Amino acid sequence: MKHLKEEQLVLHYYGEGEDPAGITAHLMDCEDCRQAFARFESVLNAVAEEPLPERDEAYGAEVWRRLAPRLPETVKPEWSFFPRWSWAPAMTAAVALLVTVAFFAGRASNERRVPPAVASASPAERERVLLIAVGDHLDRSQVMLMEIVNARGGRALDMSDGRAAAEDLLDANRLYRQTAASSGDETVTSMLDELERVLLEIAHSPDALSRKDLDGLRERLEAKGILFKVRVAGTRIRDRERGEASAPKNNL
Amino acid sequence: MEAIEDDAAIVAVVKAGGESAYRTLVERHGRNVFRLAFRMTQNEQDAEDVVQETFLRAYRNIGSFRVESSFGTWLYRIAANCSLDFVRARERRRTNPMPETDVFPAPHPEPERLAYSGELRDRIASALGELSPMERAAFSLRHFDGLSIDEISRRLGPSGGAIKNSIFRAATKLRQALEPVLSGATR
Repeated sequence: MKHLKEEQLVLHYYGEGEDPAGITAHLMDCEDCRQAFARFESVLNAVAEEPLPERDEAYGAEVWRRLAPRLPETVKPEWSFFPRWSWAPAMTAAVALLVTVAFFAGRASNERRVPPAVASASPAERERVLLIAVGDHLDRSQVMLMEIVNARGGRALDMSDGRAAAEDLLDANRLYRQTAASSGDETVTSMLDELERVLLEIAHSPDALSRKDLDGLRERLEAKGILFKVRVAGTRIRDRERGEASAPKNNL
Repeated sequence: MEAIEDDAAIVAVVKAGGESAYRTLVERHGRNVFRLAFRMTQNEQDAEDVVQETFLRAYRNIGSFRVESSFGTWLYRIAANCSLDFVRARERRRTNPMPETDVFPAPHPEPERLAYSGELRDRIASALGELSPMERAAFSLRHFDGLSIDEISRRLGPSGGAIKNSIFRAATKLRQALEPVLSGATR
């Protein structure tokens, strides 16, 4: 009788061997193999507990606390006018679409059938992802508006990048506004509605803004206080995002 | 179970420049990365360093992550490679400390079993420490986490055949190290 190899015995122990029925039958008939298998079984059963230092639920937050200060050095792009959009055209809207689709898919799955892993994310997690995404959207909007408000020089301002950025933000803004409205968050909906009108104006500006046109745009932005509103809303969203991590809320 | 679509949505936000979104991924996967790193390095401080290095590498290379993949699996591979780098560097320095057995103290040992269980525990920790990082990782994921060989292969990188070999070698080394203790206990 041909004896089983040790590798077969180990794999059989873990239920990973080929022809498990054949191996079981062989073990019943062969005393040598049965003893060899019993030796492995005895050792592997003894290694029952994993010697592993414990890390509690707060561990991830601790990792982040140490990691966060190191991140900007690794990927922060060099400063330029409208820095975020030159390398990622249309990405903002794509992200917004992805996040909102995931958000609504998760909601729908709770009400009807339960498809894939979207449903595995809790409502609180989906809300948090949305809060993060809207917070980032407001950050980007704020950066772009500040670039315009603080633009210097006596010559005309090239708006081609800024206009593309505004178009990109505009698409994302519509999705987030609709999501906020569906969630019943009137404050955020109203703010995003105002931001949308500003983005629309910038998206439809000419390729180059003369000094006079730029001053006019600045005056309109300042009159609406849109930069201030975006900044305040962004801060509130960030606060809610932090609160969401510990005490989930129902609305955006 | 991993929330793959959810991870993908967050990765998309990070790719678009939303650094703070990365926090969610770190919080979600930090403990699993630590577990793998500790299994491979067998040293708590090294494992902490691996966790930091893993998330840094992942962040730097997040542009190359394909959304249709599992972020967790991608991250595990980075963690496995980081751990191997740490272990190799440590071996080069020849300052490789033995596994700290006092990391795993028995909380309330019974007096009559103290000697045997203490020796067995030490032998197990020591035997696991003698395994190569890949053997230790493959064995631990199969033995303690119950992952299939295919899943381990996806997470760590080597083929299923190589993972089988690693598990077999680990089991053989453990048997050689522990059999004398176990057979002594049954006498």
